[in-house]
Amino acid sequence: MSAESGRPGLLERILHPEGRPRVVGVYPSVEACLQAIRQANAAGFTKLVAHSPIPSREIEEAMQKRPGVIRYFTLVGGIIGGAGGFTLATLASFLWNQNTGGKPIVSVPPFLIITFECTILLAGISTLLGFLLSSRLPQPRLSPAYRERFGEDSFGVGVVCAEAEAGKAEQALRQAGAEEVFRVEG
Amino acid sequence: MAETKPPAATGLVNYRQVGDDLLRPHARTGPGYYLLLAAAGTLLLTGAACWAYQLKVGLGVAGLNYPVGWASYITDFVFWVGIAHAGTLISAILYLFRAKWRVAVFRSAEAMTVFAIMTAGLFPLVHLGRPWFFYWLFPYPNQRSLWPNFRSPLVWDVFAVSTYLTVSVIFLYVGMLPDLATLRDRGRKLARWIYGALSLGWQGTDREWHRFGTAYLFFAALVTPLVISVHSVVSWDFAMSIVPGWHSTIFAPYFVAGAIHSGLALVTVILIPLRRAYRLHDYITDRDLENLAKLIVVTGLVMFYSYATEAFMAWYSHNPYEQAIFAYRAVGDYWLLFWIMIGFNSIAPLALFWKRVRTSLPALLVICLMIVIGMWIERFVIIVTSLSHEYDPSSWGLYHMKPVEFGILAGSFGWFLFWFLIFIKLFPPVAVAEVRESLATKELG
Repeated sequence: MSAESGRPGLLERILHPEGRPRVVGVYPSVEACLQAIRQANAAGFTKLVAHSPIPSREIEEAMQKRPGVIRYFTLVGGIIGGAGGFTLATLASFLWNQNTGGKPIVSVPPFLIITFECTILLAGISTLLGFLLSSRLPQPRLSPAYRERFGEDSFGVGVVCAEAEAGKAEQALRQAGAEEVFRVEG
Repeated sequence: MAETKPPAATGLVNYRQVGDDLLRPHARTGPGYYLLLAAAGTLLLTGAACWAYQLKVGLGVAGLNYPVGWASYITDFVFWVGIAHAGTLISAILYLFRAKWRVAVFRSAEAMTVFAIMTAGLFPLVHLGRPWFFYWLFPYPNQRSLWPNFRSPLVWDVFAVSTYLTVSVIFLYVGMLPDLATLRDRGRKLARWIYGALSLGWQGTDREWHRFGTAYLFFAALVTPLVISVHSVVSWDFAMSIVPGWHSTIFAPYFVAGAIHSGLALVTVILIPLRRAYRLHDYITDRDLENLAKLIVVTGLVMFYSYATEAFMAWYSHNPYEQAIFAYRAVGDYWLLFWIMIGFNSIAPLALFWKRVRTSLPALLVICLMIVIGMWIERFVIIVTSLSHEYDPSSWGLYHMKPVEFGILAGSFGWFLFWFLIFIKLFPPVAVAEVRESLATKELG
């Protein structure tokens, strides 16, 4: 947060473009977490952040997650890798122009093996890159809305809202059976 | 046995208890761990000393000589690449098939994959006369305009194994991110800082889990054809030549099946003592081990079929050299190893058809150890017998392993075990988040 203007800094805006949760409810189970998401939605809050110690398809569906961009990274990486692998083998064979066993200088079947390996290599690396970028990792510091128990045995639902709406959000989260509701400063 | 209570026995999911149980190796290690680590270190140093001696004196200290120029080191290479395959089968292929029982065992298998490739990667170096020029195999711009021969299976190997190592490390690391965050949150001071850096600030948000699921699926889909390609390429190191006993179209599937067979056996050999030592019976259950045993029966049958097909093709081809090499394997100088190979790899696993045998841990352990030994012998038989008994009788000759080669083989087991032991001390050997997820799935019905 920039001290003078009160506006979030550049890094903050990149890592959290939709803003940080202002009110967070803590829940003991997946069902309770789902109930909190529904309750917050019903109260008119659409910008939510759920924390979970486990991968949960139900939470993803409740949060209406759409397919991300990772698949494009994988596809483009694979195409670049495959084209690069074949080009490497071809150009290197022209540069070191040696007849091996009467095979053509550009020997397609053996070069396809290099092409395949490079396709997988670049697709894998670009998938990693796509994963990191789209999940906004690495995060230089943990969110003030995060609690260590979210990595162990509790679920959290954070509501991104204006200060004026914090009371309403808190009420919605409590109605869903929160064990604890806390406000995030800053 | 364990005092651990089954986490779902009461019908309530206790995620924290799951974390406590599965992170026990991280939190507490007894003297047995350090003794084993010392033993692995000793083996590793023995291997290193043998290699240093070989570097100083020359490759002559190994039994490599005309006509058998590829022998124990290449055997070790093929063996360790094969061991790596079970990790991918369990973590990626079973993931794509939604086999839920893999949850308890896939992390150890994935780690085993990485360390087995690291071990395999040493052997081409050990086998080189001038290992300091190993980088000549990589394509890089150089002033001599000298490039590797991309039609050579040895160059394919470099690409396949390097890709396999890279993608396997990424797959293992990304899969561990949630557990690294748990370790960060439980850690203090330095551990907290290190795991904090390694976990990349993971906070288990819905966005992170969603992207994690997508990426994991893609990694699984990428690594599955990769694993098949890697051992196919390794098999083509042999099959692309015209040496009798090697020049065969079934070599690729034959090698892939053998790789998975040996890898599953070694995973089982590692998991049985691991779950006993860290009281993980509620997570790595008898049922999980039985499922592994069933897979071993399948791969054992595939091996049996492959051996039969090889022999049939030699007979049916009417090629006298092909027939001669198969007769030589069965009744020639290395006949004992050949029959141990058949017995250990394809006959012994048949005992696992009986539920009584496959649910008996000592019996399962013994059979898996036999398979590990048998699969190493298989690679040896394939490589050495063909070279020692090629076309021309004047070029026949015998090969015997020398002490330096035994030392380096022992060192490779030490190297592998050393890394694995370090891994289970620093990282959870069972995936905490996925086990918690499987309990939550039961809870939700």
